[in-house]
Amino acid sequence: MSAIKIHGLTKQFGKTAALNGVDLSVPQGSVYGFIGPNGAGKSTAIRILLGLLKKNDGQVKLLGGDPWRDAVELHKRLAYVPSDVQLWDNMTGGEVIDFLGRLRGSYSKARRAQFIERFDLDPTKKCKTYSKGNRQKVALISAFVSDVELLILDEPTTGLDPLMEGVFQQCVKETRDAGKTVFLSSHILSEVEAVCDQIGVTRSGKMIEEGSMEELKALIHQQEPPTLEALFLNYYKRDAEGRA
Amino acid sequence: MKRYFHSTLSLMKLYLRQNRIFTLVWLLLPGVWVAINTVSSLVLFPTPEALEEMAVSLIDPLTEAMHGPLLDISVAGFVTWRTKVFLVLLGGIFSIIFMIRHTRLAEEQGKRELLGANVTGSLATLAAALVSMVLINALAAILTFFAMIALGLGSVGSLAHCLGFFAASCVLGILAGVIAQFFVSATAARGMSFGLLGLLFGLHIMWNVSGRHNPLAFFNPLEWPLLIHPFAVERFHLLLIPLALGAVLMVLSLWLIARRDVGAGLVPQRAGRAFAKLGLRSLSALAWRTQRGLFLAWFCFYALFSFSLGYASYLMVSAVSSAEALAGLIERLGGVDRAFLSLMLYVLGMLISVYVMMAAGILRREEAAKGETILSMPVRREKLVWSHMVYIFGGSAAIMLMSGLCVGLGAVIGTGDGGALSRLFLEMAGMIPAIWAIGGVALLLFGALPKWMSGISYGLLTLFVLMEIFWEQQQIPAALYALSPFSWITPLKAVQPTAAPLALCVVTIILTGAGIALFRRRDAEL
Repeated sequence: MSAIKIHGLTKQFGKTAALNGVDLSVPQGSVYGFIGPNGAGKSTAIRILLGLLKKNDGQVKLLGGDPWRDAVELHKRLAYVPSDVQLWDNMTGGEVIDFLGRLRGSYSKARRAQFIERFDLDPTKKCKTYSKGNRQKVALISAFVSDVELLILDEPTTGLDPLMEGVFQQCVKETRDAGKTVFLSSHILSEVEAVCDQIGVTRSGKMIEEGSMEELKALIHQQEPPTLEALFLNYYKRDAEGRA
Repeated sequence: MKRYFHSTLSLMKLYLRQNRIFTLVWLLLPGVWVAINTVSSLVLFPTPEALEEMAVSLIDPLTEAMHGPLLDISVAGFVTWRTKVFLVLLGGIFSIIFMIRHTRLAEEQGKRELLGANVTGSLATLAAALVSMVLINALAAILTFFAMIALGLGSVGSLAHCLGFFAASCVLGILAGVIAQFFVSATAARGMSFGLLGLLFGLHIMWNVSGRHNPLAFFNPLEWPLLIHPFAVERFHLLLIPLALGAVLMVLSLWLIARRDVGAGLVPQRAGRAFAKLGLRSLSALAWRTQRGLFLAWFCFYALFSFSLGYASYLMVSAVSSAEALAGLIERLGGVDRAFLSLMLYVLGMLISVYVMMAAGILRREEAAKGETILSMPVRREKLVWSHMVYIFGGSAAIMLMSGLCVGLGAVIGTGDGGALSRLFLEMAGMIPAIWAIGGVALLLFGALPKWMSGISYGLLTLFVLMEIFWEQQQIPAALYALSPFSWITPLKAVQPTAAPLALCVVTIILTGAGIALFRRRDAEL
């Protein structure tokens, strides 16, 4: 059973094709790492999954529904963290967390207190005074406090310090252990290596590799040095040569 | 010195290159305003007798409360007396905005950090803002001075007038530079500066009403252009007060900025609430948070302004009645007092379309900046639009109804005409459908061309106003003018079709419906 299933997805902005036939499938209960260089179309794919953008062609199934048509119903069952979090200047972090939690509908005071403590956030500060990392924390807390089936995270840890990065990875693992699905778009390969059990690699609006972490581990061992990073640099090199 | 002021000149060039239209208006408006007033006074009061008559008929307690006593009965004396408060308010407001922009706002946006990390002296950012502000004010005063000389007003009196408002504008700007050191947010610093200007203005009126000279008046910039006595035995030595005050405040602001960290204020930020109020749980509650500041500011300003307008309306009657050029127009509008108020209400009503645009602009900014967060929530897209439509339509209507009520009450109290209340209230209420149609246009653009919404909607508004002017001068046919929603509420047409308000409402519904339908179908424009 897949939480997300995409086949032949294309999206055009004017004449430029942002997505050029993307296929991917995210098994339920997995942590899926969605990797690719800047401009590969990761955010575009995510925005289509959220029903913010309309696809041009292809099939997209999200939690069994159509992300554009069934947006409202589906959004009750998922939480999203954007890569560049913009908040309301005249509201405090605490107010934003409460507001978003109430709007989504599945949220408890106990979990709120727990995650504010873990991410070490001062909820009494006005959003305009938060640094990028702290704004990111507000969005992360508001996603984790909700009891939803799917988390969609778009480069959620940019601006977080290493300590908080650790807390984040722990939270993702706990989410998976609770049987939920996490779709994580990221640049930080060490993060992906640490928490993901499925991986999809995209470049120029296409998937160039998809598989389980177990399968990739075998490939990683053949690299010099044996890291995920070395493997991906190889992928991109090969892909670039293939085009040339 | 190098340690403190290095690169001040380069920074000044940078500041002066930005916001050129803002600077241009600031430079030219005082001179243009004085010139307009001079020319119209020369036309209105061609003889010394006419001036004498004006001095008797026009000088009443309310006018005196605003402008103080008239010192010299001449065109020059009248023009300086009539323009000085406006010139100080204008120069003061522009100086305050300029100072806050280049001090606290720049700091908030991280620009001061960027500049401070470059090869600049530690006080250079503030010093450059101060010097630029004084320079622009000086240039505006020089232009005004030349305009006055060119129109044949005496040079010594003109010099005194220009120096008076120049000194006042500068000191108000310098004051904003001091205030900017205290607050972390530019909004707070700007609000505090304008609040102070409002307080000084209130004192100015209070002192004028009391009629007695208060020694504290020497320290209120709004009094200087009067105290310097232009065209009435000038007292140039008065300028020592603004000079000393300006110097002290300038040194104070430089001393303060040297004593605090970048980004920090001298007034600590208050902590907000850790938990949201129970009511903050829907998009409409969120819209109230984002729209309330704009709405309340317009609502209160309109209530106050409308009341004063209604109250003061009878004063204008005597001023306008002598102008022959207006006679035909006045007759068409049913008498002098009605004509004046109807026209003023019409202009006030038209201006509310700016509020409508601003409220719609907030909706667009919510989509652009927070669309990802809001639209990934389980809410239907149209609910986001609905939550802001409360302000675009309901808010504008509330402002107009309040304005109609206040202008009516003011007129009843001011003139004792009991019928004025319902007449003026209904007149203002009758304009609501046209303003709504403007809101409909904004929402259609929101759905159809979100990226261009703000530009096109303000452009259309300007076009509608221009059509009004051209139609009045009979340069465009009535059929073309009919495309402007304002053409259906203008008091310059003797009769309007009774179905006009209903038709405007139908147009509004169609435009809004189309806008929402398009928004539901289009990509989120982030």
